[in-house]
Amino acid sequence: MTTVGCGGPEGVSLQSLDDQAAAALVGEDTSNEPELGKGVDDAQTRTFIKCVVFPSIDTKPASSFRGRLYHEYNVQTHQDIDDKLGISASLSAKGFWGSAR
Amino acid sequence: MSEDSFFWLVDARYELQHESIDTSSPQFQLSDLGKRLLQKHGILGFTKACGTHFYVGRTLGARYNLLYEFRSQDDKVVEKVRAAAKFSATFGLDGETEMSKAIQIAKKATVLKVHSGISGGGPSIADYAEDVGALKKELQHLRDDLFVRRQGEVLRWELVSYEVFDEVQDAYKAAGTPNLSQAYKREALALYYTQHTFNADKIHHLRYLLNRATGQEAFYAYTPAHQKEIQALIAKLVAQNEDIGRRATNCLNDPQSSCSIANLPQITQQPPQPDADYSGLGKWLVRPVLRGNTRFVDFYGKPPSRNGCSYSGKTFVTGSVLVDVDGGVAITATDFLTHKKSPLIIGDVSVVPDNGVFHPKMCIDNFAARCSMRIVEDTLTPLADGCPNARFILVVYDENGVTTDRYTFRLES
Repeated sequence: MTTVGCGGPEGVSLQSLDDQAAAALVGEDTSNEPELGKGVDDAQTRTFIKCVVFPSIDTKPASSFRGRLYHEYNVQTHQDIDDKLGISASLSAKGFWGSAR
Repeated sequence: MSEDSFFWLVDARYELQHESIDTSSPQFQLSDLGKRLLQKHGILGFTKACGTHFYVGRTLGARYNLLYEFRSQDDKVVEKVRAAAKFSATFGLDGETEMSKAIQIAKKATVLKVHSGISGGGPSIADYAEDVGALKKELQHLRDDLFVRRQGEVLRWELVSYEVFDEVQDAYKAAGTPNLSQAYKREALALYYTQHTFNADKIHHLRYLLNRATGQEAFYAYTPAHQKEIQALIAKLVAQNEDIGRRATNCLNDPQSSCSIANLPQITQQPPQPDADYSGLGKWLVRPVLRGNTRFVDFYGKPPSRNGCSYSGKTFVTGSVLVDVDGGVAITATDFLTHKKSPLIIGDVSVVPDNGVFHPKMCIDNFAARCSMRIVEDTLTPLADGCPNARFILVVYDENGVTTDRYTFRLES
């Protein structure tokens, strides 16, 4: 029987899929590292296995910020810093109290 | 962060490329495993294994953040830096001179800290850049690492809901659980963090107030009851932060956590006002007097009326610190860098009437930036007649507001 990871080729037996589903349901992904296609909760506190397939990844050069060296701000509070750096308070909480798992 | 600090944030962010899943292709779909999970275990099983969203794109680049913290025990220094940034469009790296000057002032007063955050770039990027020239050089280095040597990191991830797939939408509807979103978790974590940092800032400020109210050169005084009140407020804030920390850790680590925000009211209680203000002369009557037949200047001092206490003949004796010279009263001031001493005019001995009360014409008007005078009452070591004692504190600043000389004179009969 052929076993493959998520997003693998078609033609995998149902028994194999059931085995993988059982493993996935008890929390197979333990790396907690983001990756394109990988699952995540919308609070971004933990990652999950990859449950989508896609043919390719588009790559485009970014154009913003090339002409600007830096931005500068006078900040008074921690919230000011997060606002200016575009960091959400929930992600700051994750950074402050640690990642899940 | 407290009121005695000023912060300047430099945020340099360079983006190299954006990568994203080709979601327009017909081959973009749920994997066989995803479909199987949905089919056999419904939307609950699917989200338990796959999450509610997936990563669809990412931006590679490099980022260099520096947070300059200007902190000083001399309020004038922080005020000067703050004012330079507020009223000048040329502060910061755009105005190298002002920024460099502020850093120099801060270094002299030993109050500059630089906090950094670096993503991307090679190992040779410096963690800190304490002067403007070095910072610009590091930023150029970072750009070269990124755009020439392609040493980038993921700066930002994008995620989308699985509801882009019809079968997932159908599964949500079929289960009658339209909201499996964990937005509540995000909102709870945001509240935890915001409230925790608010409390931490307040704790810092309250400790700062207590520090300013203790020691030989206190700026304020609190009664023991008010000190206890402030300490109780600090304890309350610390306890709430410990509670928030426990809730946040649980919320992050336990997938089943409800991330409760119940019974977490913001502590808005204000500290009591100081019972005495020693940041200036207060209500003390202070008048310069020449000592005998000399040109040395002392100060006659008298507090607001005290029952049974006479301050007649009591003066703050200044030794040979203040001298009446042509052009005013001179003090021996020290150059901060060279340590050379030279006379500095800080006012004159003429007095100005103010509602019938006379004050020294020193450290005011044109001389206000060069020195300050204040009276700190001392209830612990009273005078021989049992009346409250006091210290006269004279501080001299250089042209940047950095303290160069500090004198304390005691009340003598």
